Amino acid sequence: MTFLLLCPNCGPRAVEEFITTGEVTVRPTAAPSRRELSRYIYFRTNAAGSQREWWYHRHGCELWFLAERDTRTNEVLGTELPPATRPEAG
Amino acid sequence: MTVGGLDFLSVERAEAAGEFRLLARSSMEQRQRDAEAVFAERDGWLTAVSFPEETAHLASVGIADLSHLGKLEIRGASQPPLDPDVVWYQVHPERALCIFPPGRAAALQQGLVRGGAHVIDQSAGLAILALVGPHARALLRRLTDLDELPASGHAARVRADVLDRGSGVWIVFGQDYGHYLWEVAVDAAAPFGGGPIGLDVLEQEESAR
Amino acid sequence: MTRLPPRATERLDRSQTVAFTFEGRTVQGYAGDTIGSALYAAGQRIFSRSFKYHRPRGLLCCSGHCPNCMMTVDDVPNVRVCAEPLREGAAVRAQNVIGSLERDLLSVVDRVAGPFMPPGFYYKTFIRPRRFWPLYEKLLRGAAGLGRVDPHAERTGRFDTEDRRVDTLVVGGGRDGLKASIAAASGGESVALVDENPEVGGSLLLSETGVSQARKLCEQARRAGVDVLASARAIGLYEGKLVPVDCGELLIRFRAERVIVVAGTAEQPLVFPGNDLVGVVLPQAARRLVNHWAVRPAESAVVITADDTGLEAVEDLQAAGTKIVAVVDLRQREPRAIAARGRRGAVTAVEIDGQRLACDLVVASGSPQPNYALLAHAGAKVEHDPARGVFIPTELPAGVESVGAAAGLIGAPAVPAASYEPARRRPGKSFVCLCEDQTTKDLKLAINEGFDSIELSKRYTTVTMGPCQGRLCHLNSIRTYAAETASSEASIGTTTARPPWAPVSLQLLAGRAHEPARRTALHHRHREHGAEMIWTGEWRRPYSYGDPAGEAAVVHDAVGLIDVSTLGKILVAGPEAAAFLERIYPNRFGNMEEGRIRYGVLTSDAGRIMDDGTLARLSPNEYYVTTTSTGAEGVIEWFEWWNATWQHDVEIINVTSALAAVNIAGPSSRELLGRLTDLDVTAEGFRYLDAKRAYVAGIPSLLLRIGFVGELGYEVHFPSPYAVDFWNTVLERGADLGVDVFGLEAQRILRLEKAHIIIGQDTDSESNLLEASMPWILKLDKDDFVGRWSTEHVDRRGLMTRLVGFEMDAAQLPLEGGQIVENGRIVGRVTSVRRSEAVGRTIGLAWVPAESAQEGAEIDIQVDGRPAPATVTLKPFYDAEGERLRA
Repeated sequence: MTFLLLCPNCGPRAVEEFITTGEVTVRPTAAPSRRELSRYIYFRTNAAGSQREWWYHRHGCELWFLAERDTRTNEVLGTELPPATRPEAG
Repeated sequence: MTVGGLDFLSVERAEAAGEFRLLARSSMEQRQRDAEAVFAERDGWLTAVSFPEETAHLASVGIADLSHLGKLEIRGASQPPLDPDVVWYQVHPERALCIFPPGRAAALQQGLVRGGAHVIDQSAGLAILALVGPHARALLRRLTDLDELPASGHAARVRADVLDRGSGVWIVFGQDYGHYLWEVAVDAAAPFGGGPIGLDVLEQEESAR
Repeated sequence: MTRLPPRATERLDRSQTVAFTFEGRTVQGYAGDTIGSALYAAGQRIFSRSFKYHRPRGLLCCSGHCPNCMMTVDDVPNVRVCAEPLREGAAVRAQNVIGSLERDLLSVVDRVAGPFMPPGFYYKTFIRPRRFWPLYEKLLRGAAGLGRVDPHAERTGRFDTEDRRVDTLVVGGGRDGLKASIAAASGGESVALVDENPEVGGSLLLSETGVSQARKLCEQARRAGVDVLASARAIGLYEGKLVPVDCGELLIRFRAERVIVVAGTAEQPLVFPGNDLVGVVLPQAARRLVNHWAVRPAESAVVITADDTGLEAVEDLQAAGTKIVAVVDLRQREPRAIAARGRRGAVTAVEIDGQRLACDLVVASGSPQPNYALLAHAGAKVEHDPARGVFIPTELPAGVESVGAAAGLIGAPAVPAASYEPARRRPGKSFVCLCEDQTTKDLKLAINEGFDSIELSKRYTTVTMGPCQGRLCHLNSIRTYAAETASSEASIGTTTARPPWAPVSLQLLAGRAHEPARRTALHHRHREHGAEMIWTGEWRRPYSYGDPAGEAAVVHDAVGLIDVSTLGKILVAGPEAAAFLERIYPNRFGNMEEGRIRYGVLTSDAGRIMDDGTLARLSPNEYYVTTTSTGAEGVIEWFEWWNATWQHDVEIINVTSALAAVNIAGPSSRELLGRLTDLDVTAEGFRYLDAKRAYVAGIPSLLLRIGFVGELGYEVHFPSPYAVDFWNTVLERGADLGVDVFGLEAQRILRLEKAHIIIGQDTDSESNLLEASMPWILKLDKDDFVGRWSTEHVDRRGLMTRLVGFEMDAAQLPLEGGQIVENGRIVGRVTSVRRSEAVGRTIGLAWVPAESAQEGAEIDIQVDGRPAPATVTLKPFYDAEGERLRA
């Protein structure tokens, strides 16, 4: 695994500079049923194709960001900072 | 004498007056002793001021320990102070690293805090290795794949901020890796004929330019 | 003598003779020779014995790709001497022979054992009687194989790794590669060109005009700014266009925006009986011997060729004085049968369609197969071109290009037959794979046994798995398959090409051992105290100073000093610091007073314990958080990850390296501390769980009065550059109080006496707060926090297991991990256990069934294979009420 990941701050870097927590999940907003809690904690879509993921630039700027990666080819389709951290326009 | 706020992070606030013996030491001191460095006290720090064969090393790539310099970590929006002695590196839009001669942390911190930033004294936490000389960049390539400087990445598998200093580079990293990174850098310099240099010859080299 | 007069293309410096030894005999060559060319010039023809059959083998490719010339040089096995530069005093020996290359006793295998060693023979023969297998294995391993590795050899030499970034990397320094690099550099790009040969120029170097053209192009490239590297072999093309290049003692990891592969072609052997005889060569072997090393390859030669390269070899051979007996151009004439004949393993004649032609060299050239491997690594497809009988790369990924012959521009060669075996009863062995000694008969056998897919067959016959890595055998094996199964090469396809492209030494891949180690500022002092240092994650820490029980006793009776600088230390600061901590911890932290400390346990959203530490509130908006020694980075990443979504106005700053921390603990610690500071350290002035800031030994410090080791004590945090002076001052000032240092093992004993858990030792990735007996951490009367729902679920479900203390007779000492047994079943395990001198018993922590988690309950623990009785306790073993701690 030697693909390049485009850090939104630092530019393209070797993947070993980063760690990932994997697929972006949606946390339940209110007290979940046992089934909903199980799904949230244990189940993942695990797509063979484009996947939205969290990455952290551990050996670098130490920012968390989101990436779209094709899990079959490791092609990184795009990266962006989490919504609220992106600087406001103007 | 009280300790206010986060002064317990501050190297320069130590009170050596009177009863207690105090000297700030670099994490690389023992390796420098092993390399037969000559030490001297400068600005409250024990510094390696010369090494055997340093002139020969400097002709290729010299490795110097600049851990005694002051450093601040700045969070939030901030502006670099207009001061030629202050080195400023913007890690990302909300984080910067500032490096300066020892003894100026408090004053610089005050100025930056007035500007609305959150400032932490990292003078104790960060060590600095300077690589100086014609082969500095070649040596850097044996330690990291970072190419366009300044940049944050790794040096020999340790997180580091690498800054371009004209005649060479500075590698800024967590001081607990001091022994390790000193050893790795000196080893990597050997095939180039490089090696440790002291602060005196470094100063001479810089004022000559 | 086979050495020719000086030629313009030669690499020799005839003014320098170089002497070396071969099998103990001294041989002379010139500077510029390879070991192989010097041996050939001196008359050596047999260079090795084959892997399985021990058949004599001679030079075949003369370019470092086939297995035929492998010898042991200066105790380094498997050196391809045809490409190895000659050096003074080299000690060269044959390998895999008993006797000599000329008379190998193991060649009996070829004459007799062949029928017992078909492909996959180790599944069929040498199996019964089963008790003889160890003997068979020993014999087979001794007889087969290549060079020998000395298992006790020390690593020699120095191998470095370097990273380089370029806009364009050109792999292959022949004419097309040099031109491509000049074009790229002229466009303003940063360009590097790598070529595996000692001199750049490729096949240009085989003619006088070509040599001059190569030198001009190389000059032009350098002037254009191209970094031209010879003896630099690209071994793979990885994701992200990473190309590692083997430069012998330096591994350069190139990252390029564009990779242009100009790797040329690999000449393929023809398949016919006797095609492995010494003296059957590829055209480039003949051409290199003549042009690079001024050696006449033979007296007389027959040339059979599918394209112009054989004809070029004819010209070179004639210029060298070799008599050309016959030339067969397969583009004009397709023979039905070819068979080479020999004596003592060397070719003496070749029969073509019944006509016998005496000769001592057969130049046999099949197809020019494009070297597509690097392109295939990058994801290119490989397709069969039936018109030219070779596989061509197609569908190159973005940023990867190919030029020249490697891309398939090979002119119009003939398509050779899969084999030219004469139709007779015993035609002789036709080799498809020289590395592994696999013949056409072997491949047919494999197909008949059902291994009819190329990937399966490869693994069964081991074709392409030898030193040539398929370069000289893959195409022929596919043609054999197509012929045998009456299908097409296109439908059979190729096997997956994987790096490395050529064998690469492990020493080079290992490089310099960069194994990060973290040391505290007191490291050297620990060594001076005689500490035994151990690894805790990346940290080096003192396990003990020689007497852990004695060190623990000092803490109980007087005052001890321990370096805890490895603790993670995090500042959480900002207007929403309290809100953030409330949301991420199960604890309540929002109502803490300034200057007070609480113990916190971090849980995941699945309710599992992740880490623990102390939190001190320094001001309304500032918390000082400590973590376990190996947990700091993980906790910061965790905090930052949640806050990336929550976006609370809070800064999370790592000060682990900035601060050293020393724990001064024991009944005399207050007295000692008082000598170092003006701070009011009386019991009322500095209460248990207070956090104070003051000068200690002249150093601005943060003091935390906490109690991991169970005695009155103070954890002092201060800037790490002062650690040595701090440590020395404390030891000096406390000498009359009996102060001494204690290490990790003593600390472990002490904390266990207080039943204090260690995350990761007493808990694992499944442990939750309730079953770990820490219900008081959990504050459910607050808003949502990470792990809330899962922990509530455990509460509703009921506890199934519990972490409790146990004690037993000091004569018994179970292992950590020892089982708790009930009615012959395992119902729990021991996580920590020690003999405690202060308590006089064996004490520990264990996971037991919830029903057994009662004060005084009896359990059984396996010790030395037998159940031993123990008693459960839910209280600390030492100073149960905490009076000493809270003094």
